[in-house]
Amino acid sequence: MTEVRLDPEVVPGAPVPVSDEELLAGLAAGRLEALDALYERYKTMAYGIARRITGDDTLAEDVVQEAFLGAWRGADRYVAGRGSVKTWLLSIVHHRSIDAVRRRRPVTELPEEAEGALTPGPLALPDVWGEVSGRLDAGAVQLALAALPVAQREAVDLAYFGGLSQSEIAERTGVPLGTVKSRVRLALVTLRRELGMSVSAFADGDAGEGTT
Amino acid sequence: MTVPHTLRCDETRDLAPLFVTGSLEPAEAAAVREHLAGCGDAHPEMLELGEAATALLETVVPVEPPARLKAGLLAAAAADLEQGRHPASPAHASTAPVPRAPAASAAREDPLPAALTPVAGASGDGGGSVTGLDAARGRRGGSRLAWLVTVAAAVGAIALGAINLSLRQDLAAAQAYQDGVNQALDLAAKPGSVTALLVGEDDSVSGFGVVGSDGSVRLTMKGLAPTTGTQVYTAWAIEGDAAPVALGDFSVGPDGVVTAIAQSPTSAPGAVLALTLEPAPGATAPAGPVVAAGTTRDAAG
Repeated sequence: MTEVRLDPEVVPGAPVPVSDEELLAGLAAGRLEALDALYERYKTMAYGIARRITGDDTLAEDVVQEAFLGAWRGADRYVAGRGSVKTWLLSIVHHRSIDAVRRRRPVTELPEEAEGALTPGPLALPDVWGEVSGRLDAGAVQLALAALPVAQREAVDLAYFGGLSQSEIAERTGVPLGTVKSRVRLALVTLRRELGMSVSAFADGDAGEGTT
Repeated sequence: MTVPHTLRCDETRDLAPLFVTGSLEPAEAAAVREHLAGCGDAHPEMLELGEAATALLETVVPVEPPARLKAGLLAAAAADLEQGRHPASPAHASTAPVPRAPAASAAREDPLPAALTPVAGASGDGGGSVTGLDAARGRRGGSRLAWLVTVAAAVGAIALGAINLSLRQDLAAAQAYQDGVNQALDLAAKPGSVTALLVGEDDSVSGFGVVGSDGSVRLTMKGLAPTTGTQVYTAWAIEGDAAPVALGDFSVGPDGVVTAIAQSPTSAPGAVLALTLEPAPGATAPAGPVVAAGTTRDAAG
C-alpha cells in the first residue's frame, strides 16, 4: 500500500449536552440529526398527546409526523422569549391534534384550506404557549387539576383534549355557551394559582358570569 | 355565535379561555388572531391562560410511538430538503444560507438538476410522504443529486434508527458526520462517481463512501468504536474475486465519526468497500473483523 495516501480528518468529539434550543437551531439549519434528536426527546409525550386527543393510533401517528415536520419547516420562526422549545413543540402537536379531530368530523367543517395534510403552514404553529410546562412535573398539575370542581375540570378537559368547539361542549354538558366559557376560564385561572403562578386581573377578569 | 369582522379588546379577552384551549370555531379563532396582530394591548391574559393550558400537557401519559413513525418523519424531512420546502434547503426560494462546506461551491459547476426547483405548491403527488430509495430512483428524470440526497437521508435513518446515536449529548459528532456526508455528496455529484452505503452487521455502524472517476475516495462513517493502542481501522477495496486492496488506516476518537480521504485503484461500480478493525497499521490483507461493508453503484442509477 505504498501509493496509498489516507488523510483521516478525525473530529475530536468532546460530548456536550445539547439544549433544546441548539437542537432547534439545527432544525432551522436543515440538519436531520437535530430533528432526530428532538424527536427522540419528545416522541413519547407528543404521541401520548396526539393519542389522547384523537383517540386513534393511526391518526395520532399522522399528527405527530405533521407536527414535527411543522417544527422542522418553521424552526426559524420560534421566538425564544415566548416560551420553551418543549412547550412550543408540544403545542404544535396539540394544535394539529385538534385540527385532525375536527377534520375527521365533517359536520361543522368549513372548506379546507389549500394546505395539504403533510404541508403544515404558518398557522400550524401555536399562537400561545408557555414556558411554565417545562418547569412543572406531572404530579403537581394532576393535583391542581384534581382540586378543581368537577364541572370546571370537565369543561377544561373537553376544551383542551376533546377537540370540541365551545358549542359542542355546551351541547354535551347541557349548559349555555357563556357558562362553558367561564368554567374554562375559572379552571385555567385556578390551575395557575394552584401551580404558584401569578394571576393578573386580566385573566381573572370577567369570571363573574354564570359560574354555577 | 356570530363572528364580528373585527373584535374589540373586551370581546377578545372574553374569548381568550376558549382560544388558548383550541375550542373556538375556526372563524372565531381567526378573528382573535387578527385582533391580536393589530392590537396595541399586549393582552397578557392570553399568555397567562395559555400557560395554564399548556401545563395540562404534563398530565398526558407518554406513549412510545411505533418505530416506523421516525423513519417516515426523517424521510419526509429529507424530502423537504430535496424539494426545497425547508428554509435551509439548497433550492429554497429564500436567500437562506446553505450550511455546506466551502468546497461545495466548487462542485456546483454542473447546473442544478430541475428536480431541485421548489415544488412546494405541487404537493398533490404525495410529496412529503415516506420516500424510499426505490421510489426516489423511480422518479429520476435526470435528477442524480435528488437521488443522492435521498441516499444520504437513508444513511442517516439507518444509523440513527439503529444506534440511536448518543446524539442528545453529541450533536457535534452528528454535525461532523453530516458535513462529511455533504462533502461526499459533492464528490458523488460529479460524473463517473460511484457510491456505496456501508453498514455493519448490526447496523450500529454505517456510513457513505464515494469513489470519484479519478479514484479519489471519500469515506464518512459513524458509530465506529473508538480505537485504542495501536488499533486502526483499515479501508479496503475489493473488485470481483481479486484480493482486497488496502486503501489506508485511520484511528477513531470517542465520537465514533470519521471522514477519510484516500485513493482507490478502481472506480468501477460493483466493487466492495469494506472496513476492518486491525490490531496495527499497515495490514496488507484483512485479518481483523469486518466492521462495515457496501457495494459501490453508479451514482446516476
